[in-house]
Amino acid sequence: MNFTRKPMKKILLSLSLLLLTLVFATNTLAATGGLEQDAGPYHVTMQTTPENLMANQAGTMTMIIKNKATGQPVTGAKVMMMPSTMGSSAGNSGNMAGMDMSSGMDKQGGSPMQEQASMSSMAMAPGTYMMEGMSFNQPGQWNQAITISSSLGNSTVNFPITVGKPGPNYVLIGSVAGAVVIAGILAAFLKKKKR
Amino acid sequence: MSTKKQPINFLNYPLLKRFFKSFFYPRIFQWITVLVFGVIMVETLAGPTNVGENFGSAATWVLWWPLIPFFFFLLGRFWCGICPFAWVSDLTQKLFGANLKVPKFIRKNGLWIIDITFIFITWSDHIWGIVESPRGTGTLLLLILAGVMVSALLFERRTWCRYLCFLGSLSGNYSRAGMLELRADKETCKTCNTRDCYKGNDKTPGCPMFEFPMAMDNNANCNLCGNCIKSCPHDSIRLTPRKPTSEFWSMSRAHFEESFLAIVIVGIVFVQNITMLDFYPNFLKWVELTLGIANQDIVFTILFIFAMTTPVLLLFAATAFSKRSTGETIRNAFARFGYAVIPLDLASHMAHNLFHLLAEGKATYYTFMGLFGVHVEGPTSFIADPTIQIMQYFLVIAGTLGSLYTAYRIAKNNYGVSKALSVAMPYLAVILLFGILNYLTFTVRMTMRM
Repeated sequence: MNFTRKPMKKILLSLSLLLLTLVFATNTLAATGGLEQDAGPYHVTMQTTPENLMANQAGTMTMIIKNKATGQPVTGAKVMMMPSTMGSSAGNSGNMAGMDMSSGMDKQGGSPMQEQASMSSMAMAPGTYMMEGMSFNQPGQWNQAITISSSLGNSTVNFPITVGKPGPNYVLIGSVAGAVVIAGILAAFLKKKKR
Repeated sequence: MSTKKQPINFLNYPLLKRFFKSFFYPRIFQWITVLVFGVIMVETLAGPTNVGENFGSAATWVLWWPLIPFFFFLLGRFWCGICPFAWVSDLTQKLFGANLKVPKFIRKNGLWIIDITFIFITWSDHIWGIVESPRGTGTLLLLILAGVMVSALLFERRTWCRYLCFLGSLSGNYSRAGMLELRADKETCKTCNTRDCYKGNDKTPGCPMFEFPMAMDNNANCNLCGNCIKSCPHDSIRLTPRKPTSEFWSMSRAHFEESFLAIVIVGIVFVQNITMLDFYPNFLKWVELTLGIANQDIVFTILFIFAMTTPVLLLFAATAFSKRSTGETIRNAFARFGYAVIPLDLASHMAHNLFHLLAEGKATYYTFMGLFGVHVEGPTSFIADPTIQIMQYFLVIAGTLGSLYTAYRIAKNNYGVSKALSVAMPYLAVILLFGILNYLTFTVRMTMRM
């Protein structure tokens, strides 16, 4: 039986390269994981799923609330998601009618976020609050106010949320097409040279 | 006087032979796939961003991806022959191709490039949610399309399909376990001076996959494009059904890269199964807390690497045990016996995707109707979950038995009947373990893609 000989070094090198790529890529991703802010006695981390929200696409917002002084998770808080407003950059300041949420609203128009303990199918760290099925009706820069009430006190935190257009990503398509065109020019040049 | 029974040759049927030799083979299939692919590209890049409403996502992940292992098993790499990317490659090359020789680096390391790309794409799906995001799927397809076009612009034949396509190694391995083979009659080929099958002639190009049918002893790189059937002036080519996995029983060449991917896929399919089970979020959280890492992506990456390396290490351990009976180097024995897990890989892959196909398959129809503005809603499943589960069990058991038997036959072929069982025993134990673990993952209901 014949075997294709490959030095073991090459295999190890390839595997190390793969491992490094995965680790670096994961770290890069981890670095862009969420937004953090301090508000009164709280340290709040906000994440959205998907990370890049698109207009009219349902998403989930997750808040991880910790005691700023001790770093301990804040449990049992009343966390309300207030109606979103569009930022001035979109030229539509103060628009409050652009977001739908899965849960009902209170008198002030806010919707309570569910604490992880009340979400049976999910397992998350203590101090995690979620809002599922939220969607924005137009693309642009939105401001999301969250009010937090617990024995530590009341505070409001504002997070900017960028909502993208659900249309094609022309930058990506253009870049890929550009790369193919460059390869085409190179091929034409090589073809000519070959002749 | 004894006469050896001739294998069935499908090309002995005049109608079938005429079809294979006609202009329409494989074009008629290719035109359909190109048309569907065009719709998929437009849908995934510009259609609805909700996966449940996007025909491109449904057609790719609920129809094509689950069906592809069945294709490989039944028809070898026939899919590769009708793949829309292959059509794009041929067209681009015909119009603008420089037709350069494939660089030595790519020829030499093609399988490793494929292995690494496959692992990377599988990993990135979990991290970036390619399957759940139509745009993610569109981006992946677009990047593959670009790769296909660049390789066709620069290099000869289907360099992408042979050396770079991330599915190449997987399709090669699965096809080798499959039921159909294309081979040439070596005696007839000895008398041939033209070698049209490889070089091509005025009417038909040579083998796009750089294969010379006379020397072909495995299915790994034959995409059943039919060029050799058309161009052979001596009718030397035969298309024959065979026993599944029989190719491994007496193979003459073993490639470490192919074995490596085969064994890595055991872990990958296992991870795919685990991440779709209801208890996965709790399990991930438990790992997070145990390791003290707060980021799920990093934790998944660690689990992914662990799942991939564990089967590799187990097979190395089996090889080390077996070495006492064979005296062969670990690397060579690993390369040879790694192929034995392919039937289990294939069966697990089929079983996993059977759920998506049968429990979510109707989503393809609903989203297709959505293309015409018709809103159709309803259950997505074709049959009840318990029935699918029974089929999954059957597949995993069949795959495990196939792998066990393959390991035994490889041992028997290389070390004789007397030593076969003792040599194969460590491998049989490892394969049985893989089989049981796979079986267990199918006892719990999976979550849906759409």
